Amino acid sequence: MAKTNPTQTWLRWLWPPALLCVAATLLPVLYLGVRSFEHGLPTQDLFSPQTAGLLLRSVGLAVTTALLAVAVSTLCALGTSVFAVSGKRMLHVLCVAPLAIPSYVGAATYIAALSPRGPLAQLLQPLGIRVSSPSGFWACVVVLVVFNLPLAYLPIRAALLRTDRSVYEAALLLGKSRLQALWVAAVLPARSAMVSGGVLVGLYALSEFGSVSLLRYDAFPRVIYLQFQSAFDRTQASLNALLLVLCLVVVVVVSEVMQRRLPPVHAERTRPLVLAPSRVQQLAVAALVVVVGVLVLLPVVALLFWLKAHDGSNLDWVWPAVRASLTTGVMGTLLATVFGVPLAVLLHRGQGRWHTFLVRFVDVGFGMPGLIIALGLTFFALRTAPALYQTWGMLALAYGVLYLSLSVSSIRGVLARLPPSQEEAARTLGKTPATAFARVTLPQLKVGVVGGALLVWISCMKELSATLLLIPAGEHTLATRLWAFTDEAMFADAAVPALLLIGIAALGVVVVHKTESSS
Amino acid sequence: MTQTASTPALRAEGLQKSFDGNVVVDDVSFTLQRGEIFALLGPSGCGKSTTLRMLAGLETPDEGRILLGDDVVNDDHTVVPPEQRHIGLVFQQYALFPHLDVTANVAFGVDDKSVAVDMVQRVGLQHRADAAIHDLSGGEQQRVALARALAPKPSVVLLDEPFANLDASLRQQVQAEVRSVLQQVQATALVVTHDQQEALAMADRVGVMWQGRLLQVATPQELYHQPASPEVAAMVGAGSFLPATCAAEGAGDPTVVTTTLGALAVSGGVHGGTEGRAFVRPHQVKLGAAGQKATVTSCRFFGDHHVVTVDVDGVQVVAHTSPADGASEGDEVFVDVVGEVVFFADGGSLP
Repeated sequence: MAKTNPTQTWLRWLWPPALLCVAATLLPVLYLGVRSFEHGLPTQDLFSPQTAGLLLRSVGLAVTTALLAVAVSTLCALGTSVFAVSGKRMLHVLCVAPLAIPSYVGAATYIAALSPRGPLAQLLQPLGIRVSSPSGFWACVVVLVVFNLPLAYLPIRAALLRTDRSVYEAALLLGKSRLQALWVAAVLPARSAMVSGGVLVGLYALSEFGSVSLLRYDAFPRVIYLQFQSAFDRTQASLNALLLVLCLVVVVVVSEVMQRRLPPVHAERTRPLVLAPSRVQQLAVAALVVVVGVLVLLPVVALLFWLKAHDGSNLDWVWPAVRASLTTGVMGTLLATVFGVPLAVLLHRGQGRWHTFLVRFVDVGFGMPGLIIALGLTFFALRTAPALYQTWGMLALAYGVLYLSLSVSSIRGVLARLPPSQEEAARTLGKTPATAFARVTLPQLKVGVVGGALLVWISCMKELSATLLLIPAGEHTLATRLWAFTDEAMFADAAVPALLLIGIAALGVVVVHKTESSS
Repeated sequence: MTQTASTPALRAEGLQKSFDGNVVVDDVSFTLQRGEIFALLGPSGCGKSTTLRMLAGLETPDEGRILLGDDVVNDDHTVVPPEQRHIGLVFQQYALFPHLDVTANVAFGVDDKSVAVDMVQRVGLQHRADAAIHDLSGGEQQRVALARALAPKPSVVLLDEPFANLDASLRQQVQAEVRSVLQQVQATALVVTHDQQEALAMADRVGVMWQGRLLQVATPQELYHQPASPEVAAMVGAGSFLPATCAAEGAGDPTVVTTTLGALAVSGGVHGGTEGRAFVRPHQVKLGAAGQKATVTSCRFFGDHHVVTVDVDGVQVVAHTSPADGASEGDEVFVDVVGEVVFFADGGSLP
């Protein structure tokens, strides 16, 4: 006869908060559907040349950005992993540095740097060279590649660092050239990391609102935002938002199909492959250092230039914006953490069909762009509780929904490393399953909970698109201040929030580094 | 082996367990007497750890009964959860609580802290009572795990490969220490191990498991001298199998079999058939001037002895010789067997 194992019945109590999370994540998307289709199927809008053009521009941007990011990342990662070149440390730092610069801050600083009154213009004017503010497709590609570079660079480098030296040596002994051997031993096994890094960059490029809007390129997020703001075309806005969600889902599905055909990255670390570079390779790495260095450091130089131009007046806005960012960020963090803990525990511990469904849902449903969440919540609020629209509470709720995934994945990471035998040991020492969890596992989750909460908080502080839609009229956060100043070409004023945001993002990098090294 | 009139500490009856249709534990029954140290010996994947987890209540058997003293903790109607079984368990990776110090770990299962302090002392860790777990050496962590399991005075303590994570140089010393602590507190213990030396050295009685079945339960000496099957013989100590025949029942001497090495005396007599295999321990095989003619096929030196393999009419036989008695491949030698061998009638299978 079959008997089930003693199940952890206390997990039942985690389902209500988990289902609330599911509902809060689904609700915005469902409401976009309701809003799009309430007047029947909008076939005319859906199959218009405008929609086709929009789709083409967005997908074109995402694909170009992803391919370029993977190519640049692979070159840089080869330089910083298998080759014993000088300057490899510097190249690595430069490739990781964009983690501390949100894309829209990067875009704003590029605009400020290249503006007709900016540092480059002043430098080049005597030479008779004119610079113009960047905008359009290629400006977007450059900004998105540079400031999302770590998303592709880090996984590809991690894969290259696992290059099996003996495979390289075996290829040489079988008569292959050094380049062929490198291809077989290092590059081909890293394909899986290239796909996942490229997909990540592509997803960001598709849903990136801030930088693409500042650079005035009509991809989905900018068009959706403008359509919504114009207030006459909100059905079109929600329809386009749904199309964007569809694009994101297609990308995720396609990437999963591609991943399944590729061998996974080596699990265990072998003896590292270290190659002496040829002169050409050394020169190539030097060139990469210069190019990536200029592109990454340009914003910082420009910011300092504009900050020097700041006359010190007009700073009354700083404290209210910082306070708004702080308080809303803390509220969003509380929401994401309070719901993140039970959801993470249930995802890790649950069993059965409903649990499998929950895991699938979280894999796909998390990571909706801020604009989508905000738009859905806006429609929901306008219809059911107009009083909630553009309140701090609504914004905090959007933050909570947006960044729940950060809290959950941080806690899940810790849970996954705890051996199940610890709680089993507590059981054999006379504790019930719930007590065993509370006394053995919960105390050890602290690192994950705190680290996750800090990440959520930092992300809230940087958030732009949902904030623009949901913030109470007349109020500002640091991010929306930067947005407004840049839009009005007040670059000296924009330098202040830009630097503050870079500081906050840098804090996030430190937090991630600390949490990862402490475990 | 301690045999008392009282109820056994633990009885396992007909335990059965499958995972995804694979039978992992197949009709396993045995008894632990009070104060006894019992070892389950077998290769990895033989079901011994699953058996231990069923006893602890961490897995539920598909069939069978488990009794602790007179109390049924598992049968068709009963599943007593682990926290109510009062069984101690020392995990292979120790599973210590990293957020608690040594004494807090040991005190986890007891209400009275002085019991924990006493137990920490008993395993010789009083100088490390406040230490963090990650500051302890492997051997010290092992002792904390043992103290933690023993502190609540469990009716039975189970040890899952308790020495597998220790350096070979430490292992024998820790084995002796653990055995002495277990005896001091008069614990009834079950040790699961894949290491025959460990099982033989630690246990009063050993159960040999193979492919989910319990093949034989006996004292270490019995297992070595009277293995019940070729599998047990091969698992407990080394040896060689020789094709052997004996006279049909009533037609000749029932205590002698004929092999390529001549007529050999059989310990325990011949049962179950006339065709089969004789099992010879390496120390019984003597190379010298008398006996059957053989050719040396290999000779390896192990410091305190040589392992010499010889070919006798196509049958490989292994002998241990003294450090002085080496041999070269191709040498012609004479082989003789001293003492009694074990006879297995055909029908069994070789591992």
